[in-house]
Amino acid sequence: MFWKFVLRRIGQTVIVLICVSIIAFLLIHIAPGDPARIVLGDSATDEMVEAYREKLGLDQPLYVQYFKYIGGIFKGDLGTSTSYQQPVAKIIFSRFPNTILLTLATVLISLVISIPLGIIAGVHQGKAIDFFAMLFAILGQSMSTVWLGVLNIYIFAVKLKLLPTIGTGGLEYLILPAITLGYPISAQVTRLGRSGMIDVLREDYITATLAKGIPSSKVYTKYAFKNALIPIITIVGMQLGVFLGGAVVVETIFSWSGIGQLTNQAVGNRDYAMVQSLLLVIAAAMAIINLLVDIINAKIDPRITLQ
Amino acid sequence: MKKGFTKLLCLLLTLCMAASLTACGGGGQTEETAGGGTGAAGEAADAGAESGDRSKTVTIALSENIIELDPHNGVTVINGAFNDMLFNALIRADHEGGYEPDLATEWESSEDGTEWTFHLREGVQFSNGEAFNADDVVCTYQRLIDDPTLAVASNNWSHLTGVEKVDDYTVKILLDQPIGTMLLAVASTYIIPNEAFEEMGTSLFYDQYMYGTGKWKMVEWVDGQYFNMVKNEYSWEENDSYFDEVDFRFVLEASTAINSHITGDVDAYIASGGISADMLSMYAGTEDQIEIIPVETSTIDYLQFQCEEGSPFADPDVRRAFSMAIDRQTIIDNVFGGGAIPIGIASENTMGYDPELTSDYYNYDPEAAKALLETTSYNGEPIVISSNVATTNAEAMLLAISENVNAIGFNTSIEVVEGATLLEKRSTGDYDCFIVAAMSTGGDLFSFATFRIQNDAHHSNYVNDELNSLIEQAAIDPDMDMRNDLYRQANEIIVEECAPMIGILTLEANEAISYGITGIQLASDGFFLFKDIDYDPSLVK
Repeated sequence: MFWKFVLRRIGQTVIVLICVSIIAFLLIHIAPGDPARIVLGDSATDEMVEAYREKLGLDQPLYVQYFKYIGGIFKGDLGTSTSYQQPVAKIIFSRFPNTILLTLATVLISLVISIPLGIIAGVHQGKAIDFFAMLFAILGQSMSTVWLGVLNIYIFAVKLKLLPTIGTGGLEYLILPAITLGYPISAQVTRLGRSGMIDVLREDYITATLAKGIPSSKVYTKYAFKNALIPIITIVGMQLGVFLGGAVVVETIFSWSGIGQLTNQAVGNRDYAMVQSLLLVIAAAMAIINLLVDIINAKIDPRITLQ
Repeated sequence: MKKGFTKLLCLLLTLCMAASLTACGGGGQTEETAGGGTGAAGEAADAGAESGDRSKTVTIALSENIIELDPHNGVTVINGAFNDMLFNALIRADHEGGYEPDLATEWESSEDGTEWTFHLREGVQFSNGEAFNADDVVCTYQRLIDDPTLAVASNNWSHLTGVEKVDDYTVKILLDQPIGTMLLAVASTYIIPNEAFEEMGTSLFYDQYMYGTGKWKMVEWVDGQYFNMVKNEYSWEENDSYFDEVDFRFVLEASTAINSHITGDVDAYIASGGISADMLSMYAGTEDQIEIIPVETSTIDYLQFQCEEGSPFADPDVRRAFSMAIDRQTIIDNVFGGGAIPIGIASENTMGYDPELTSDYYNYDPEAAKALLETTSYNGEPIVISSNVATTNAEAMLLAISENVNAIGFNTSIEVVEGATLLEKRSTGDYDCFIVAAMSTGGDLFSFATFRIQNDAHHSNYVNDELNSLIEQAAIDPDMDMRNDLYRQANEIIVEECAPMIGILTLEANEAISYGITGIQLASDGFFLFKDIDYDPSLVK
């Protein structure tokens, strides 16, 4: 049953990726702006633009361009960037490690803070720690990332001189971007963890285990927490996918050259091959993570495979 | 549970302490080295710090990323800055209209201006040790002939027909007609090594070898992050800079760049088009460490009309009324915090500028504008004023202009669109009027006048044979005084006709450089050059 479930989800993922490739291809081609004109600039005559379009294959029907692009993917060729004049794959994969690093650091920081906080708040509902946790969550969900990023730089770099403002390398460069990106997700997970714990703690089986005299700490961590975990894994999985797609704002504020900044730049330059490939890579990352989340959830709660 | 909570608190505290300790290390380093750099550059910074002197690495924040490494295809100001450090051309522009010998020591042209002979410098080597000679010049110029889509070719060399090696140190460049901007074109064409290019092709650039004859050589480029250079030991020019390494950081967010500068992570923040006036207040309190340098640029913001038959702006009086209704000085003062009013398409730093040339159409006079508009057939047809997000303060400027002109009877609205969208509109003529910025390299109006007016690249549909004839003559006349006069005459027509465009303002750019850093040239044409960057401790306050 479990493997059937996994195979079905893999099949769905493949269909999603095909759909994304078509939509990404059409969207960027529909958007106003001619890549040939952008590359050649004002001084180019209409004839030069037309010749360049021909060179890029943009004079061919859309479906021909699409199948050429897809055919290239199967040969490991994502095309050539019109702005970098280099293979798209080389550019994307030079930036992808930065995005993965930031994503992992963000998720780690947010989970380390939010899971214990959410559980403690749920267990101590209505007490001071619960109030503190909710204040933390509301602030995190209300604050703009731009503002938070600039504020973090101002406090920790300019005033306290604890952390560097820009750059990549050691751990110190990762802290501020990861906190800025992680705080909103941390707030969300704290809320989910709290409400999940409150719901689970009301279940009869929890009352029964407590009545049997099993230590409360064991009940909370072994029985209650496991059941409160499913929505958290789902939301963290989705956010993981979103972060792998790049966090344009945080990457820009902290000069972190990741996928988000690259996507923004590629759309502006109407770099067709780059945009299509980025969207596909991002969609693939998102789909694979969703698949993993579903598999983990199915392992935690085998009833999911029956639905 | 209480025990668990205590454990959690301990864990969080430990994490915070670890983070702080790591951060303190980083902070101490940057403070000690006064902007000694980060990452790769940081190692060099440490070395300097240990010796008790200022770091031998200078770190500069730039507001734009570089994405094109090919010196013949990248034409942004960042490309200009890096190419100037890594390569040499046959002659070098001072970006104020003057030229000096570079890889060529002397040059002369035939009487008809179609054959130019350059005598090359001997004893020059590329950064890979390859000797420079006429073959490198032939290779460079032949590449531009073979591939006219390269940006340097399409911008400068549409009349280049050949390049000939006369001997090892003499070359001839052949044209099918004279071009007025010949010296500018030669100065924009960087010489690449023949043997390395034959062997590697464009990998020479894209795999980051970038062998040039310049004072500096490339170490590493990480897309979106940094571009490092060190002194070129083969350079024919003496490079006695205090700095051994120049580390450029790409910082797209202005507030981050300024904060980095204030903390000493970088030594200068150079923004394309200048640091926005409203951001300068962030530097308050750093007056004894950082100098804000105002630069009078030749970059103008201009408004181009759609003049085709049936458009409201086909009538010159509608255009004139529109121009007179704009309160340029208030926009300059309130939106840009400084600058000047250009006349037509010429600013004080460009050819064709004439201080005697004045025009009522550039004076804010809403009463006269309203009276003039009432004499026309304009009847409240909706007009959209367009601009793109790359134009500095576009939205505020467009709102102010729209309010100005609506007050005298126009019916305008504004749209600020993405760069590619406006480019598409301009290339099809699908607009009522638009505002963008334009810079004139070396103060030469050739590109602006030839492409934007004579060739009507942006489809204004304005045709004036007399104007086009003046621009055409200026494009081919090698005599700079004559060209200046021709552009002045052309500008006079543009001002009188308010077509196809009107000038709105000349931008004043502000850049921020720490005291002690010298040799950064902030040219009035919008370029910034770092080739001679150096350090003078006596200037540190």
